[in-house]
Amino acid sequence: MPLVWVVDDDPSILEAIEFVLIDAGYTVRMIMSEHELLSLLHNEIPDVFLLDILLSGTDGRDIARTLREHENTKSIPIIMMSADSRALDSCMAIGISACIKKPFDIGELVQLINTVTRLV
Amino acid sequence: MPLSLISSAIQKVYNFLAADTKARVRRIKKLTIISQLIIPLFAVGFIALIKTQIDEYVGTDIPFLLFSIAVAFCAWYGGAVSSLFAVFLSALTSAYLFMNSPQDTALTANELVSLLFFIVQGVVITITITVLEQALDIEQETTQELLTYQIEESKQQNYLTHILESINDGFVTFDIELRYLYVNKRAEEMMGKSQAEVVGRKAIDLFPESANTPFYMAVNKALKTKRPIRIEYFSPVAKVWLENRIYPFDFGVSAFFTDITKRKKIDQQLKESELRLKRLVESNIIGVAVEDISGNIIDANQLFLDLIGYTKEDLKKGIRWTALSSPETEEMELLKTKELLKSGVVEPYEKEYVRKNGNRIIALKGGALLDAEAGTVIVFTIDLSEQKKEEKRKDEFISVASHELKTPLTSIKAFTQLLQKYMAEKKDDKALDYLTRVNGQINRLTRLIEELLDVSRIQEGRLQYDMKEFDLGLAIRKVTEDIQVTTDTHKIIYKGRAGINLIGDEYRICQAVTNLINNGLTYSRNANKLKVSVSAEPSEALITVQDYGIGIPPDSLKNIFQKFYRLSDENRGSYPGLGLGLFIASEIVKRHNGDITVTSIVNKGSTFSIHLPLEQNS
Repeated sequence: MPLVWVVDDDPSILEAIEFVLIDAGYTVRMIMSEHELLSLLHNEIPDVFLLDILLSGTDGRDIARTLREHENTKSIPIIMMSADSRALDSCMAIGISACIKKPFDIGELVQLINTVTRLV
Repeated sequence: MPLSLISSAIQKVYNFLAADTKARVRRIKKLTIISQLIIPLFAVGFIALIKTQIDEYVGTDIPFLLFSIAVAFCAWYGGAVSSLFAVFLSALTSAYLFMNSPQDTALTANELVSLLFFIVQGVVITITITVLEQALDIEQETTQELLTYQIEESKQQNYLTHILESINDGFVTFDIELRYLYVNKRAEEMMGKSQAEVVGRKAIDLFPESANTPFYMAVNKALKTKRPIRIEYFSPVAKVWLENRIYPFDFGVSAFFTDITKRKKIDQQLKESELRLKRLVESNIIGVAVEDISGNIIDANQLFLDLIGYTKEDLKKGIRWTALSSPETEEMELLKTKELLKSGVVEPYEKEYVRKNGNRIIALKGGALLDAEAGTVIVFTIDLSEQKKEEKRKDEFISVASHELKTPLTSIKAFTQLLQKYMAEKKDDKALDYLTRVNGQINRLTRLIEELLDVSRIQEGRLQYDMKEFDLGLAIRKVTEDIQVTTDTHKIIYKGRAGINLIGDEYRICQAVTNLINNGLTYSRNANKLKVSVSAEPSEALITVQDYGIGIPPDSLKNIFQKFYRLSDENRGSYPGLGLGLFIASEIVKRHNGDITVTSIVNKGSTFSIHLPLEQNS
C-alpha cells in the first residue's frame, strides 16, 4: 500500500486525513513539523507528501523546495494544502504536483492522491 | 583816425584774401599747365602795354615796378609756375623793350644788376604769396574745422541732454563742493525740485536731512578716492529704495539714481519664500535632495541622508543617483526621467533605494524640475518602511486568519464526510440527511469566511489582482458547471462561446460571477432556473446573470452593492449571508475598469450585468 506522509501542524486535521486515507487503502504517517519531517527522511521515504502551506510559521513552499533538492525526494509527488487559494497559484512553479484547497472534500482528496500515485 | 582807417583797410584786404583763398586753391588746382602759362602772357603783355603808354611821363628809371604787379597777379591767380614764368617774361620784355635803345643791343652792368634784382624780387614775391596763401588756407581750414567741431559738439551735447532727460533713472552732477551742476527730469521728480531751484546750490543746503545718508557719504568717498561706488539704501528725500551708481570725474561727481523699491519687494518675497522652503527642508519632516544634470546630489537635508545611509561628508565628496538605484529599477527610473523632462514634474511613486550599506528601503519619491536650463531637480522622499511593515503585518494577519479559521473547518468537514460515508454504509438515511445538511452549512461558513477575508483585503487595499489574458467564455462556463454540482434545485442555463479573450484576473472575475449566481440562487428559492450568458461587443465583454426570484424593490436598487446590505423577506426575515457578495463583485468589476448594473422587477426576478472592457489601460 502506498505510503502517504501527511505534514500539518494541526492534530485534528492530521487525524481526520489519517482516517480518510486509511479508509481509502493508504498507509499514513502523521508529521507535525519540518524538523520531524527531515529527520524521518533518513530512515524512510514515502510515496506521496501531503504538505500544508503553513507549518508553524514555516512556509510549506520552502519545505517543498528542500524536498525537490534532495536526491532521495526530488521525484516524489507533493500535494500542497492551503486555506488560501491564491497562495496555491504559485505552487506549480516550484514543482508541486497538485494543490488542494482547505476545507476540502474528502472524496476530492482521495482522488487526487490516487491520481499522483498512479502517475509515478 | 588815419591809423584806424589803415588798419581797417588792411583788415578788409586780409578778409578778401582769406575769403578768396579757398576759391583760389580750388581754381589753381583746376588750372592746366597751359593755362598757368597763358595767364602770365596776358598779364605781362598788359603791363607792357601800360608801361609803353606811361613811360613818357614817368621815365624808364624803374622799369620793373609794374612788372612786379604782373608777377604778384600771376602768383596769386596762377600759382607758383605762372608767377615764375611771369618773372621770366617780364625780364625778357623789359630787357628787350625798355632797357635797350635802337642803337644799343647789349645791357649795361647796371641794367644787368637791375634785371637780376628783378628776377630775385620776382622769386621772392612768388614764394611769399605762395606761403601766404598756404598760411591763409590752413587758417581757413582750421577755422572751418573749429566751426564744424563746435557744431558737432553742440549736436552731441544736445543728444546727451536728450538721452539724460529721457531715461528713467535720475541723473545729477555735482562739482567738488557738491553744488548741483545738472539734474535731469527724473531727478527733479525724485527730489521734488526743478533744475532752476537746485543748480548752483549745495546739496547739503537744499536737503539738510541727507547729511548722514549713505548717498552723501558715498559721494564724499567717491570724490576722495576717485573710484566709482554703488550703493543701495532707503532715501528719506524721495521716500523710496534707491540704487546709486556714483562716478567721480576731474572737477566733480555724477550719480545715477534708480528706483528699486519694486525689485526690493520682489527680493524680499523671494527671500521669504526661500526661507519657507529652507524651513521645510531643515525641519526634516520629509527628505529633500537636489540633483544636478549630471546625476550628482548637490544638496540634501539630514532626513534624506539618513534614509539613504550617507553622511554630510559623503555629500561633500559627491553622491551619484545611480548608486542609489538597483539595476532592476533602471527601466522605471528612465521612464520617470522622461516624465520629468516632458512635464517638469514626477508624480509620487514607490522607489526602492539602495542604501550605502547595500540594504534596500522603500520610499515614496516625487520630484520637480527646479531649473530647466541648469538641469537641477528637487526631489522629495518619504520613508515607507513602517508603512510597508504594517502592510506586511496586515497581509500576514489576513493569511493567518484565513488559515486559522479554516483549520477547524477542515477537520469538521472531513469528519462529517467520513460520518456520511459510514452512515451511507449503515444505510441510516436519517443520519445521512442530517450530515448532508451539516456539510452544507460548513460550505456556507467557508464561503462567509472567504468573503470576510476578501472584504478585509479590499478595505486595506491589499486585494491582489493577477492580470493576464484568458478566455472569458470558457472560464464562466466552468463556474456554472461547478455551481451546478452544488445545487439540484435550480438548472443553471449557460449561453456563451469560447474565444472571448479578456485581460484580467480570471480568479477574481469568476469569483464575481460566482457571487452573482449564488446571490441569484439565494433570492429565487421558488424558481428552478437561472440564466447566465457571456457575449462580446466591439470593445467590451458582457456577462449577465438572470434570476427569477423575488426581485429588488426600486428604492433598494441604489444600495444593493453596498457592504452588508441584505434584502428582507416579510415572511422569513432577512435572507442568509453577510451581504458582502455583491459588494465584492462590484469592487472586482471596478478594479477591471468595468461596470456592474442591475435591472429588476419585484416578484419577477433580477438581471445583473457586468460590462468589462476587453483591453485594460493601467
